[in-house]
Amino acid sequence: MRTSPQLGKHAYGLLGLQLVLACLPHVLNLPWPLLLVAGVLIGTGFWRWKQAYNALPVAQTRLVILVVVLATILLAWLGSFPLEDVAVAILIIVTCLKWLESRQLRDAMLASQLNFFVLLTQFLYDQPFWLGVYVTLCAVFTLRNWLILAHPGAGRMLPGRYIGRLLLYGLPMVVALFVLFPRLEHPIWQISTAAQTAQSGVSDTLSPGSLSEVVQSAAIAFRAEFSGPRPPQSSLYWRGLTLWDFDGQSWRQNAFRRQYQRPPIESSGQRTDYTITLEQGNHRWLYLLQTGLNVQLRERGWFSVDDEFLLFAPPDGRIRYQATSGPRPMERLDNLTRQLALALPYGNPRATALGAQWAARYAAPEARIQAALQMFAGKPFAYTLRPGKLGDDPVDEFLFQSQKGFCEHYASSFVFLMRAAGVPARVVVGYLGGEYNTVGNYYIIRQADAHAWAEVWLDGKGWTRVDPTAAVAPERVERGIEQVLPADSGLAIQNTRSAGWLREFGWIADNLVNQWNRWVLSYDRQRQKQLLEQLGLDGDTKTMVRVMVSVLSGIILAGMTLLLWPRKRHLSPEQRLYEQYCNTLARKGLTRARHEGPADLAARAGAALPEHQAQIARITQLYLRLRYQTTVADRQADLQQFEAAVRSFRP
Amino acid sequence: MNQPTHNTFLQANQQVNGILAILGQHLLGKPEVIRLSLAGLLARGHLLLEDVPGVGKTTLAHALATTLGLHYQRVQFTSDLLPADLIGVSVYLRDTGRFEFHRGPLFSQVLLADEINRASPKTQSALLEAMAERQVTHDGETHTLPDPFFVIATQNPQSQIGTHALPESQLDRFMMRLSIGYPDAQAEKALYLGGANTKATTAHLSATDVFALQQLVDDVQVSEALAAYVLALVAATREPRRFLHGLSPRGGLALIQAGKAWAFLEGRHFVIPEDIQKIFTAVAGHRLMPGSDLDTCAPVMLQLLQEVAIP
Repeated sequence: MRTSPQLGKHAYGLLGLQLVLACLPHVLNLPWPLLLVAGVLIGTGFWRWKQAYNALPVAQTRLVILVVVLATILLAWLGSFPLEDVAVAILIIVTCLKWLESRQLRDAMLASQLNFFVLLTQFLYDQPFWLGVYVTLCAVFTLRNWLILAHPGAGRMLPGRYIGRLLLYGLPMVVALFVLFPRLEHPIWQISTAAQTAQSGVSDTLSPGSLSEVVQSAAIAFRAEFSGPRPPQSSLYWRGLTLWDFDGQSWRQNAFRRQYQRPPIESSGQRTDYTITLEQGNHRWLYLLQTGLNVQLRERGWFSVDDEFLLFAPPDGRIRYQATSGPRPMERLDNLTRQLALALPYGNPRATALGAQWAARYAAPEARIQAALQMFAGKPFAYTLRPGKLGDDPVDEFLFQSQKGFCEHYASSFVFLMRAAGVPARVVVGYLGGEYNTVGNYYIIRQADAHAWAEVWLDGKGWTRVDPTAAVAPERVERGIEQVLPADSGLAIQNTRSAGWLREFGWIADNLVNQWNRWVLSYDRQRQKQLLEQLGLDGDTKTMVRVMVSVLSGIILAGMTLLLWPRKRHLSPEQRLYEQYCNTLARKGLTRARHEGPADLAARAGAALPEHQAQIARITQLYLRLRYQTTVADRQADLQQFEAAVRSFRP
Repeated sequence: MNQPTHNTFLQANQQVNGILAILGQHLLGKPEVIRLSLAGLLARGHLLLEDVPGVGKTTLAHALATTLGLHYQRVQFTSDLLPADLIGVSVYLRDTGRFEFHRGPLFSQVLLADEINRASPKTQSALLEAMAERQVTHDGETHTLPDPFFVIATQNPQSQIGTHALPESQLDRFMMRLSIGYPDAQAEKALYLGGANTKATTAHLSATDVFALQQLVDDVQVSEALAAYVLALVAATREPRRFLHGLSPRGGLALIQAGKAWAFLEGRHFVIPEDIQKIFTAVAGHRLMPGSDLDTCAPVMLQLLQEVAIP
């Protein structure tokens, strides 16, 4: 048996580098003790590399390895790490160990192969777009190193075109496997970090300070795409939940009302169709414009009587839905609802008194609303992220003392005043506005766009939206939050929505991410099934496996055929004519062997077709002359004669 | 290009055909071998005849030399043969008080080296050096060998006791290795009935004629298509596992040169793939070592010829 060639120092270093790159994103996922173990091993490897790497006694390395492995076992035993983390760490450690003991090329090739698996583990945790790009680049790098190992003669100068071609060959397989490999309804191994690290977002409770915390984040809440013309930014009130119950501090959903399903409604007004991709789905409601009339989505849910769309269970991750909105038809307010919309808790005496005063002074509810809005506009109310702490009677304190607040303060106190003044009112939480991505033609709605406003009941009009924030800071509605607050507010959004080419670039990048989410990540079992059914096939797993196997075999066959197909070289005219003559002979059962020379063929053909002997001899003589004689007096004339001879050859 | 007139070419061809006929009278039933050996000489190559005793190696060599009208010497190689026995010695002349170089048998137009593998490696390399450079350096003086200069060596493949096999690098100096083989029954019967010309033949050509013929062979045309075919053949010999080593560029050149001579003998002034196929085994056989356990690479070469497509 031949021994494999020794591994060079350069190649050894590259193996380490690719391993480090493959492990790097795990810094976000793995617990630090496991990371430390991997770090020690990688460090040892590079220490060995830095020393004259071949001369180093193996005993020292072995000691390090022994200690590290024991440490890992101890760690896994003592620390209660999630099983999947330990499994990933073990794979990393195994790859490190293979790298450490690599002395021959074949060891190194195995280490390279293991590296692909390490890369794969990244996707067990999360599959964002950037990670896809990163892992692809790492995989190409690993492939390159592997090819260098596989072609020791080529040295470090392996042509990029070769790697590119190999990747290109693999592409159809990747696509076929992606589209057709049966996806599981529920992943066997689910590392659902999304549910654990619940990102801040609009919640079903509104208390002073809760929204001003949310708007600190520039994270994307959802993306909205309109199928028709896009409505202006100021009309984009994305309704999430209606909050009815006020305990003096916080607004909450009414547990009773949310249970009831709204009967289907017919709307006669103008409809708006749009598609929303909701990011972090750790809540149980959707965001809709105006009154949601119809929603199409995979998850199960219902329209509550307050026109919220509620889900049965919080979704696993991102969800996507198509919605139609329009104006609500006229309705009546029943007594129970009226009582709920007028209910006030104990406390806040001054605000209650003010409401009662308005109720006495103005007969029309519209006038009472105007009074409140005028109060916000006329008095020195400030719109700020840092309103300061409020005590036991937050509405009173805000209205008559601090007069500094964020949208939740305005919405909350406005609804409180309206209820005190006898106008049925409720708080609505959701988002306002958004940033229009002109590259991908959709709105990006971020957490910073979180908003709270009010809805009041007007007889003859129904529930009507009133945004008290607009009275204080009209720019908030018109142009977005980043325009209202001073530049030093420390809002992440103010960096994200900075002007200029950076913003354009951001849009392009976000569009890529959006497409990735839409086409790659949301491609699940359901979509697979749909795809097969669109092709007129059964959507079950058995059919899918069959289709996949046939498509894959087809690709392999096509590839082999392409590779093994005799290359149609560039043939000279005499070669083409000669081929024609050979084909003619072949039809007579005289197939030319590939190694058979023209003269030999002529001898064989002449013997088989004695009546055409002269013709065959003529053709052969002309062909030999044209092809093998370097000085031909009149090539064109010969060629014409040859052509004529071949064309007239009809045995 | 120095294009020979059609007439010259035809004349030369007739001449050569005459020679082939005469040689055929001496060695019965072996027209292929005769043609190959003549082609080898016209391509300015040396020949190695490898066969069992008594099949006519010496007859062929002798007939070739005399018919072509070349000065001919025969040396029986033995294990105690010294380089000086071939090249010559310097003799002290008492009257002039100087050394004078006495030329050895090497200084002939055709040297028949019988049983070349019996000589010591030292003598072998002296001969092979002379074959490659066509000159001999003795005592610091360079002596040019006659032109044309051919070596026709014979060796017996059977008895290997007491022989020194020629190393590959030296085998490479021979353009062709031929083996004559037993005649077929008809030819052998004719031989027994005295049909072979055993008398010493007369010269039909002269050294000048041979020189002119070699010139004509040089002028035979090689097209790009043919070069591509030779290239494909050579590349095929270099494929792993077929042979120990593939053909060298020198081997490829020898293929072309021998192919030219064969085409000339066929009366063509350009080479076609069939010419290369005819001379391939003779030219490449001794330059290739079987890669597998086979004793000879002849079957592998035949297979290779069948596999390589003519472009």
